[in-house]
Amino acid sequence: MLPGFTSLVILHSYYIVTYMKKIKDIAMARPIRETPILFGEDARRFLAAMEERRPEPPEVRTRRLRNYEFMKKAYELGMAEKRAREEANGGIDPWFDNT
Amino acid sequence: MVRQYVEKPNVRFIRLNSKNTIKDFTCGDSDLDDFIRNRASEFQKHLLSVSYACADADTGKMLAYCSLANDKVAVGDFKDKTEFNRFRKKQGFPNEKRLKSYPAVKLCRLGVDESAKGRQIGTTVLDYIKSMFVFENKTGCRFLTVDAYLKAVPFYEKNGFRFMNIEDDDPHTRLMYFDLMDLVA
Repeated sequence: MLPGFTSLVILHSYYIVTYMKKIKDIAMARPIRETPILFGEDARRFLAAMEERRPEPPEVRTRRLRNYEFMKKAYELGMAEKRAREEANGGIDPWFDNT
Repeated sequence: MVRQYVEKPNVRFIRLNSKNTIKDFTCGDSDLDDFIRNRASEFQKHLLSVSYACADADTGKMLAYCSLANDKVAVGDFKDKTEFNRFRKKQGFPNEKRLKSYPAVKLCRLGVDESAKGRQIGTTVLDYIKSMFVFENKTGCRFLTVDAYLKAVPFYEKNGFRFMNIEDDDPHTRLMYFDLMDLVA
């Protein structure tokens, strides 16, 4: 009787702890603020900034375009290899914790 | 540098699907860690955001991730929010003369793993996103928006982002935007 009761209490505690952890997880992430509608001075400033062009300095442009090409290549390779891994593992990519 | 990685080529950039979750990722911010570990796949499943991961090609170790969602920037011809709400209550939704909106993409999250910090991966990913929405975008997109953590604000400022509101007293984040027209000027 007592061991059965004890295991019931342990099991119950386990579920409570798991549940609390889940609640904590859900409450953890802070929501991302929505982009607001701009009014008044904010709107005036925003519209003025839209008219104003701020071209990138040449060295920043060069870096950005180089990074773009690198990442584009990394994306093409990455997706091709991902598809290959999934095909080889019955639709599962072992790089990830597949749910 | 990430460039050296790619040239080797040792970095892969992958679009995650709703079945992929990442457990081995720590960027030092519990919100960002929590999102990619526990939430990104749900957001993906409900078509609320798409997450991309930057991984080491040899080990599969995640070096960085980002999540993107559609957004818009709306500008109202009203003095303040109170006047806007009063108008809306009285006359329904304002016509286009009084409310204009511009298409945007929101950078919902951007995190770099502790092991990859100092390699300019964040800047590289941001450069890719900016260029992607200028060169490859299938719909119109004028702005890149972000709700930046206070400690990340200098990073976004350095990358050409501006503040959306003059007075933003949120204790955790600042709303910022980048005008993609600056790249085609």
